[in-house]
Amino acid sequence: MTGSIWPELHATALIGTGRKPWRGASPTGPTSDLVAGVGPDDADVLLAAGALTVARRAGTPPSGSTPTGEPAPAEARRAVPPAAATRLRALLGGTSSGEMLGVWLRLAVDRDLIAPPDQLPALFQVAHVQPPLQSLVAAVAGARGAWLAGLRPEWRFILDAQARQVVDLDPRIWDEGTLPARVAYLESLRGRDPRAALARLTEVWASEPPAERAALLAVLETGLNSDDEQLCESALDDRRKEVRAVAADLLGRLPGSAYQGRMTARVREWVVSTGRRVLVRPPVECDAAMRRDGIEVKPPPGTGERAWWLEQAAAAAPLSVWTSIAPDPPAVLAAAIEPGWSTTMCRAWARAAIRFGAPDWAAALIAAGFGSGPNAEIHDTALAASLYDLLPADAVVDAAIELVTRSSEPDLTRLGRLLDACPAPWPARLADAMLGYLHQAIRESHPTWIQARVQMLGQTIVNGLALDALAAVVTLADRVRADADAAGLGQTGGVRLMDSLVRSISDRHTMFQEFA
Amino acid sequence: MRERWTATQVSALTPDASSLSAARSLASVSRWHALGADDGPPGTVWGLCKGSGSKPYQTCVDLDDPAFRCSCPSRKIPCKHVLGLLLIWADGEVGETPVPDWVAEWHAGRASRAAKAEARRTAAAEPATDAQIRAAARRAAQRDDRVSRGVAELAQWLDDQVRGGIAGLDRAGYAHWDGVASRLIDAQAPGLARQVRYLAGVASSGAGWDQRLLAEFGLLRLLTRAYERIDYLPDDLAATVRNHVGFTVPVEQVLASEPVRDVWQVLAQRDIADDRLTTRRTWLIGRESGRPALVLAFAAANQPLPVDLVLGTEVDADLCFYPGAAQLRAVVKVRHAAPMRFRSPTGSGTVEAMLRAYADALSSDPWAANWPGVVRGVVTPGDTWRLVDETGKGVDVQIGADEPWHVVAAAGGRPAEIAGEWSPEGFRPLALYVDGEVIPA
Repeated sequence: MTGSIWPELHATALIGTGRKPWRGASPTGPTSDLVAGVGPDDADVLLAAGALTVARRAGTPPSGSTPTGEPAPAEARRAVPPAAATRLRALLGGTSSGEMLGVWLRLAVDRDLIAPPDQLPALFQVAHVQPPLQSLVAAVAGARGAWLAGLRPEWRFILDAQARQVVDLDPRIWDEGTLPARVAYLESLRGRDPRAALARLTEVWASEPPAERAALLAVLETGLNSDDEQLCESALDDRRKEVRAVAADLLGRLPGSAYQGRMTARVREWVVSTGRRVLVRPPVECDAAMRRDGIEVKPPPGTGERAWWLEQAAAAAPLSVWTSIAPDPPAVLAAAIEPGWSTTMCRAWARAAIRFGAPDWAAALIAAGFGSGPNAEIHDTALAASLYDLLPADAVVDAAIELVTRSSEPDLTRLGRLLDACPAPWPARLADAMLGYLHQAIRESHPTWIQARVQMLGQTIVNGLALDALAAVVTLADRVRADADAAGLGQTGGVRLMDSLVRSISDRHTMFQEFA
Repeated sequence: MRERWTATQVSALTPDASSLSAARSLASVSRWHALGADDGPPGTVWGLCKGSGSKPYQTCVDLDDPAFRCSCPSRKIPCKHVLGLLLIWADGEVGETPVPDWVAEWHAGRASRAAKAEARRTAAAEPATDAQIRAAARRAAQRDDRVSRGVAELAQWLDDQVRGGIAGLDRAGYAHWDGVASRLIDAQAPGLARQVRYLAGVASSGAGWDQRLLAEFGLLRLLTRAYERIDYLPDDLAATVRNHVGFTVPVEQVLASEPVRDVWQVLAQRDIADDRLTTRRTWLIGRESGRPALVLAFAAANQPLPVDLVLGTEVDADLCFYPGAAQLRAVVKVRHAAPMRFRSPTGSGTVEAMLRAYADALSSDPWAANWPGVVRGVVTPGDTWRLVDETGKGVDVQIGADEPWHVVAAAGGRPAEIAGEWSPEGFRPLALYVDGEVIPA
């Protein structure tokens, strides 16, 4: 504190002059003139404190040399155009949906452009709470973003995400980097040279911390081949459950592996076709060999133990094993399964279809009603969605069109799955069919139904429509408004919905042009 | 052809982010029936925006003495149409076209309103009758009397605090301060009331509160003593003391003082909102004189603030300063030219120069709580954030609700011109000048 009497003034003021009377001061030092006249009154304590405060404020020295750290490296990529930068500022500042931000980010990433630097902290904060946006944000953050993320531990995820996007990585990362950086390194090496990546991993396998092994082993999924079998097979004996699970999953995908052979043998033993019926006889005990192969003993709630073991084994066996029951997937699905086991078998087939990427099985399961109608609840909904993704794009589009043109009340769960599986932007025939269906739904439905269902459908349509569909949506909006006017209804839910669709699509349209 | 504003400058005019989003969507030539710019005077941008109704909205902007008009029903100023129009203009997509009649009418209407206001001011400045003068003198004497009693009461209260001891005041509760503040309002000393309310915050400001509270008590006690002796103070210091106590000076009187002409750069802006009132502090600096100025604007909560001073522009104008010892607050009297963009603020200097300017200000006005500064330097994050200039000297940065990461991000660790307010609590960055562009902090 400036002025040697400040501590005295402070002590006196704290206790109070009532208890610790102030007798005036005999100051020394540079501010002594200021407080030389300080007398013994209460007021004098404060007047002296005031004078010293002014002196201290006027005499505030700057702090000595403070290191400022390295500046950010120069940026090699181009920045987004000014209009797009303004749009980003608006998206980040406002209450607009995360969806629009996602669209903006993809537009920037597709053009290999970087975001304006002053918006990076806000982008990082959004990505911090919305992990799906992290890789997009990392891609538009550029060199400035990497520099910035290095200053704040909370933003570490940006560096990790950027490391995953770099193809050519510094080999030192493998020895010294954090886990995500090492995974990124191994992934990039694996993509170029699967054998070298396997060698790298085998070299250090025994000395790796158990917590890191699972993530590193999972990298082998890219370019999986028979060279990998030995390491994976040995990992089935790992002490850590996560590592064993990854190993079992990889071996299950590896054609001709001993693991697949063991699973095939189990399934052949447990599921037997008599010609007329399919008998299902899973074991009553989960033995050590089953457990070693990654079959979990404890079922999820609502599933029986034996059904769970069967489901896991059948999901890991190659689909060719089922030709023993019938020649093709639809015939297998039509076979008479012993009562009580058909849900288990369907789920196992769905998981196998996804694991082995089998569109024929996916089509057959969907055709047999997997995950829709009465089966919507008992079949896993995530499994059902993944099945749709296996279908060829044309088939999904055709199925969606058929669903909305054939039936006036289509199964909306199924429709939603089909539309989610259609790659955006939709082909014109699907867009036309969906707009037609939307018009019909608005005309025929109850106002509350519009609120809930059509609203949901509307958002899906916005995501799917190509930018040049704006005119068609505007035309439909005009018709809906004309219908409502003709009926003397004015601002109906349908009119409002169409207005908001027109706004959403034209916003996207404008956003797209802002990148031109 | 005048230099256009940047999109960032237009964004800074936005009352809220949803307006900016809507404006960005309107900032496409296809959304407008007609667009035009006219160099003037007055420099104008105008457009007819397709709305939901059959009649397009008429939107125009006066670029010389910035003001907006739009026929849309929105109460926001500027509305999304104005902002959209400005964004198109900022992009360079508006061609030169003479203004249509409705724009000319608007200009004429503004000019005639300005003339009437000027006439009213002149009339107010006319000598009053003897009776009016006597009545005014009587009112002034009454107020002086009330304020004097309020000041004496505050002095007594401050002394009582010290007699009883300030230990424990951090837990005194709001009523302890609010009662005194209310009595000062009744005594027509709103400046003192505001400072007493501020003390409540100081007392509950955490570790070191007792040191800070004693300092504030001391300053306030100095102010009460100064007011008691105001008749013996030099005129300038007396005006400063009256200002801190809460006497206001009529704007007519300010405008009647000797104006200061310069090219004033709009350095930085800061909006301070409380429940009833939003105050916009606009910091200016004279390009030739290096003299700082502060223009205050007020709006009731949720009402638009005036936007006649655009961040990052400079305007040749006459400013009139409020009376006082360290004159800072000013009003714009006359503009001599249209505002132009500037790329880098004048008078950018070192941390030491900024601290010296504040010390100089204190020597005239010991109660000056903050002072503007432009420092060429780097804001460094850390446990303590700092502003470090090119000589390596630094000061603490005051952290508000959010750490100023966007300042760090925008500058990228390279020295930039950083404009802000210095106060004993630290430096508050308000605007950043990087590569010829202003970025509000």
